[in-house]
Amino acid sequence: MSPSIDRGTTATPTGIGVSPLAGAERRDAGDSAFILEFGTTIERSLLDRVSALDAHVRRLAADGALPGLIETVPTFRSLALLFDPLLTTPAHLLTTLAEPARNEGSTEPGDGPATWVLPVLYGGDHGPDLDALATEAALPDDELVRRHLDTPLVVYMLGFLPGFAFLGDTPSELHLPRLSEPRTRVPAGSVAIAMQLTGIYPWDSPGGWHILGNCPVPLFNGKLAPPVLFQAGDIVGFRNVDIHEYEALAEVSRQGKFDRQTLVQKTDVAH
Amino acid sequence: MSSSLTIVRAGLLSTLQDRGRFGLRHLGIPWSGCLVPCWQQLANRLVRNAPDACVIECWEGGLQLKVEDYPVRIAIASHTSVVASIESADQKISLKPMRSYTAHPGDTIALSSTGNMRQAIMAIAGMSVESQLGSASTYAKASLGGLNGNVLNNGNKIVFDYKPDGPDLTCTDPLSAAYQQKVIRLVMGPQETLFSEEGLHNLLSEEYVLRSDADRMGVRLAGPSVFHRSDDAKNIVSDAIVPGSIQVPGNGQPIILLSDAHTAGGYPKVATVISIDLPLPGLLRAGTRFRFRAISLDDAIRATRQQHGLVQETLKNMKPVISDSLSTQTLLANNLIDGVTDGTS
Repeated sequence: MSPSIDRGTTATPTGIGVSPLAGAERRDAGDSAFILEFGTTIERSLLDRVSALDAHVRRLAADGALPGLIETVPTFRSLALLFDPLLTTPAHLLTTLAEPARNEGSTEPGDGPATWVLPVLYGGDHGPDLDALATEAALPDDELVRRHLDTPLVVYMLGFLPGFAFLGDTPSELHLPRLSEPRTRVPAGSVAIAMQLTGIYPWDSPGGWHILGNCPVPLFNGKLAPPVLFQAGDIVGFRNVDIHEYEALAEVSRQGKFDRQTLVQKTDVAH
Repeated sequence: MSSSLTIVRAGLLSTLQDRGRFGLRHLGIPWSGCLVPCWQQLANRLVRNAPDACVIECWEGGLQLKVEDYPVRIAIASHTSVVASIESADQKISLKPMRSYTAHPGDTIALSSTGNMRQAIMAIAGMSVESQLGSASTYAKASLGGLNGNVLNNGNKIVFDYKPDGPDLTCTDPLSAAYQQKVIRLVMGPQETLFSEEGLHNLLSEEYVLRSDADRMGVRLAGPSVFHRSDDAKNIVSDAIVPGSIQVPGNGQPIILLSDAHTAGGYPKVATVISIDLPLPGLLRAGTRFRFRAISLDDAIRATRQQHGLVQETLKNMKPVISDSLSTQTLLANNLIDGVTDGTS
């Protein structure tokens, strides 16, 4: 198997001299993977620790210090390491990983999490659950939309479907359990909420989240590398578009001419 | 010389698969790839391809290919009960698994039934498939790999480079002992603590039956419930899934997840099937009964390395086929004779 850890490093600083493994519990996942678990809940603090460890692992892998490691999978509360058992073992990998983090300053500027702003048409046929949600939250529709727009979200993880992003945290007044009866088809592009999370469906899929609106631009493109817009740790905001802009963006996307770089918010303004 | 095979009939589910698409699980993209990696390597070696080259993975059978302009060498890796043939205008020969054959323009290659197992693999010498994101493996859910992101369909063409080198080859099947194996080995975890003592006892001492709903994502089992510790323990905050993860939804009936499964999920995973036993649940017929046995991680890694040694040994010990029906055509194709006529022309 070919080691393929070469995605850009996300610069989440860990304390110099502190083992990024501190507080992680090892859980076996067969003879070719193990999981380092930091907790069992969805919290920003856990995400930060997972991201820090993932960055540490990827730096070591890029330096050739982890032969046999195939790839890592960050989740809300853990990091999975998948390896080739012909080449290494969990004990061997952990010995290397346990050494205190060094060279934290070597991360290139610009490697940090990206900020994306996605166009969304809220409500109507594209957001069939908006009215019911507004009633539930005792807010007018446009106020609910404003609160969803005003809260930049972090990408906790990707999974469930290829490119499906779990974003959080949605403002607390919009926290709701999943639908008791999942839909058999949620259209691609749907922006939906459940619990403290917002999700965006890159594909038509069954789904049990409340649909607020729809994003007309493609979130997955297998002809591009990487095929997915986001990675864990990125920041995502939304921009309210009307039906005309929605249709125009959808048309450009259908023609395969949409440039996803237009969704990146430039972050070089801060001093 | 570049030539092609036409898929006359694709069968129930035939996909192009290589070793897999690595490095993208963090984006929710599973590995895909052959479910029986040693068959893939052997079938490729039998036709003198690189061991990790792309092959056709066929479920149940019904696959039929027509040879177009040039001869083609193929090999099927499967259980001995496979039903396959090469049919030309004047004869039909039955194919044995674990050996290569040469088919000629106009011939029809059929993999009619995968026999006592649910899958078989066909390698084609010099087959060339464009890879996408590092692999030609088909993952139709995200339109990746295969032919235009899809499973094989009637009328598709498979392109290969014709190379008439050396005699046909044959080898043994390193899985032949495994089919009789009524035990699937696993390593406990990652979430075994979320199950009750009785649930774990059931898993490790009772019989389970493979159900008919099996595909490249996973295989469902039926048997005594693997009880969760409590209702709260029936769902977890999503955690990584790996090939071999045994997830247990609320109903207590385990599901063994395979190469095309989601990369993360919210059902607790009681244990993980060790990699060398992982082909079995996808191969054995629905209704097959077996037990699980928990082994230590060290023992699992040792077993994997041992099996790897056996496969390497088999790869090294390919034997040339002593042809049982020497025809002028095969001799010519194998380049063993040159310019000899059969005396009647």
